[in-house]
Amino acid sequence: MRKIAGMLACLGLSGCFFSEGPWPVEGAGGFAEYLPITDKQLENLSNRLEALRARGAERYAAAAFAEASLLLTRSRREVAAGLMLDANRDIERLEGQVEAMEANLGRMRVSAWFDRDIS
Amino acid sequence: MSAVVRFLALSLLLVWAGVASAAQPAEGALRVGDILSIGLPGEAALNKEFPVDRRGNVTLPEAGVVPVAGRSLEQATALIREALSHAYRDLEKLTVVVKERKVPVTVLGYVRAPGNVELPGDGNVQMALVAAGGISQGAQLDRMTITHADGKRVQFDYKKYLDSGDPSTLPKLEPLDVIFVPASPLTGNVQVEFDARTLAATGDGGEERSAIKIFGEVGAPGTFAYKKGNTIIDLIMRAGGVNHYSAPDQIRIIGKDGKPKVFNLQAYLDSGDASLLPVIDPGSTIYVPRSVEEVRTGKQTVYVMGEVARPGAFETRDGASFINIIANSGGPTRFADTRQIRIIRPNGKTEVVDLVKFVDGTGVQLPSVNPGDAIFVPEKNDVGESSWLKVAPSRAVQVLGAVGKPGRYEWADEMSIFDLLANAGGPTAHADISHVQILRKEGDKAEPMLFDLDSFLKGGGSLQTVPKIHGGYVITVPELPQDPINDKAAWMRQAPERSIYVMGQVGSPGRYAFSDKLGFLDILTAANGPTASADVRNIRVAHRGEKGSRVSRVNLSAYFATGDDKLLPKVRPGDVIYIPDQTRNYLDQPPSQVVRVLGAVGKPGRYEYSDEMSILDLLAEAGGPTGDAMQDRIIVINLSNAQSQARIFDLLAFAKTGDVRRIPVVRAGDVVYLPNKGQDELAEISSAIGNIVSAASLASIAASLSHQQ
Repeated sequence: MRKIAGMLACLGLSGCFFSEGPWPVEGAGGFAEYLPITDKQLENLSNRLEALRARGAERYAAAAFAEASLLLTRSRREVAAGLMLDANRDIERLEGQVEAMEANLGRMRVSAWFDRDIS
Repeated sequence: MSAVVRFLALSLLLVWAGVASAAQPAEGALRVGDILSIGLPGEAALNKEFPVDRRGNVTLPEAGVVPVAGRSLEQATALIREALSHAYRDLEKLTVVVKERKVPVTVLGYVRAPGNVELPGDGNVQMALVAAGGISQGAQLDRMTITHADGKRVQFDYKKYLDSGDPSTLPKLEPLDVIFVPASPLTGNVQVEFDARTLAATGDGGEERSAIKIFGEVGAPGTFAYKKGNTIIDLIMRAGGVNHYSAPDQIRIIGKDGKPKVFNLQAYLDSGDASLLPVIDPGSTIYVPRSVEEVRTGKQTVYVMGEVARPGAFETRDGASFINIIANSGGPTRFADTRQIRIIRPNGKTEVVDLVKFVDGTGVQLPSVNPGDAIFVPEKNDVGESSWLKVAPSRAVQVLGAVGKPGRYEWADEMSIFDLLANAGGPTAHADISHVQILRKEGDKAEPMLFDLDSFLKGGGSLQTVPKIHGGYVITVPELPQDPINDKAAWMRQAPERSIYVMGQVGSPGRYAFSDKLGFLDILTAANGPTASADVRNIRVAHRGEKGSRVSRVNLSAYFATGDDKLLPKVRPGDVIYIPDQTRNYLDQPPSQVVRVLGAVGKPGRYEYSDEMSILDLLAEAGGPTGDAMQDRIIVINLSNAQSQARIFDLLAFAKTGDVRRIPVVRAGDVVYLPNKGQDELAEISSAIGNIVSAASLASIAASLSHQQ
């Protein structure tokens, strides 16, 4: 009887291996850009990006602004999806880009103002 | 009987007398042309005029013909009375008088109306000619003739009468005279209409033996009538004088002895010495020859040749300058090349005089001209000059390549390359003026140099930087390659260091001329732009000529979306641009840039993904889930070096709720898998078995534990 019980126990444990286990949990974050920002750092970066847009970044640094906007979207999605390691890396890149834009935009605006004045 | 004899004797006497009178009329005798008036009271038929006709008769009514010419009026009256006595009884009161005398003559020859004319008794030749309508053109006036009734012929000079007005020079006209006006021998043997003025201009000589023939360089050569006492001056003047081609010191006269004599008209005119005038014989020939230039030489002579108004030899004096001599020769003509006037010295050396430079006041000194020198003013070489050999190599530059009129141009050092190119018609539309090549020649060596005319024209700069051109240089303006596909020969001439390479999906891939002033879009446009199948997101630019290798990727689509020039790479000559095809090999796409969509979709595969997209875009791109797809269990695997995970996407639930929070994140590099329902059933069976076995195993473990207890 013990032997039988031992065999059944082995079978039962092996049943755990026999099945592929439960389905993954439901994903999220695919449209995080339409949802409120929960991360403080991201919120800060988003605000800075918005400030850059208000200063004309879309016109004077169009490519960089578009790339930063995409990176913000990606970061928000990753945060929402719980991919925090990837999100931190992308937030870091985004921060660098925002800082670069903030530094460059001042120079560009000044030179554009001079061009306009001269013409 | 005696009466008969007397009558016959009288008749014979009368006949003889009549014939004799007709031949040689006595003074006061009746003549042909006389008009008799016969009067007989009471006889109307007789009381009128009766002319003596050309046969010497008068014709009376009822009496017939009575010969009266040559008889005296008394004799004629007796004859008329005798003739009328047969018809009229009382002739006591018969009267015969000469009422009028007329001269019937005949005018023939060169008159307008030849024929018989009747003149008054005192009529002369001129009146006869007028009565015959006047003299025709071409009549020889000095050789008219009159043939009298007796056959005697007399020649007279009517011109002499016209010249002098002396009536004695004309023969007296007799009835029945025939005046003949001959034609001038100048009219020839053919009857043509001619202009009398022209005819007279060729001379008036009617007598060939005595006429003077004048020809050569005179105004109106011709044959002129000889007049005694005329000098050679008169004759030359008659022939219109000598013209400006004549040699007045070389006039030849051939007289009756047949030997030519030379008459120096110039000497006569200079001296007025009448003894120099030769005697002109009748029939002489006078020839005025053409002037032949005499070779003039002298110790003080300077020769001026070429394009001057009056080339020739000029006598100089001490102090006569170059300008004096040129001015004396009338100055350069409009064909003269005044920049290349040569002075040829007696020792054979030549010296170039640039008169234009002198006139411009640039400080050029004119050389001195000495006796024996020759000044040569060459002909100007205009643009259409066929002989290019006239310009020496040291004075010519060659302009080749893409200019309006390539060729060999005369050169002066004060000109610039701009003058030269302008004269050569300027660069053509395809000229590459940024690489004008100048081949400088120094002695036996030639050294090339490049001149960026384009930059200079646009940016200006110091004129000192413009290369100086000298005679003998070669200037080449290269052409821009037009279309490398159609004209490979043209782009073979293009240096590689000035080229950029465009390959792949463009309208005209190939090698293009490129300069640092051109950009990425310039070259892409020159290659006719990307084709419809070009993958403009993944353009590659290989930057050559740098240390190491570098390839940059250009997303032209992003450029068109943002317009940000920073997205365009800086390209330089030598770089290679590659525009890939959209349907390129999957190996060309790194996994990190695509999302792999697997399972139950219309078109499983690798799809490019951007963070603008979502899983919904991917599914749509991949043809959507198939009918047996488990749409509520779409698996998304987020792959990452740091953190990977799998998540479920319930498409059905999302479709029902529209809750965006249920959409999982997808990034480039991730995997999306759509299982089908078969796999789900198998999973459920295995799950059920697993559950059963697990329950059984738990039960057995519990039982065994209970047994142990």
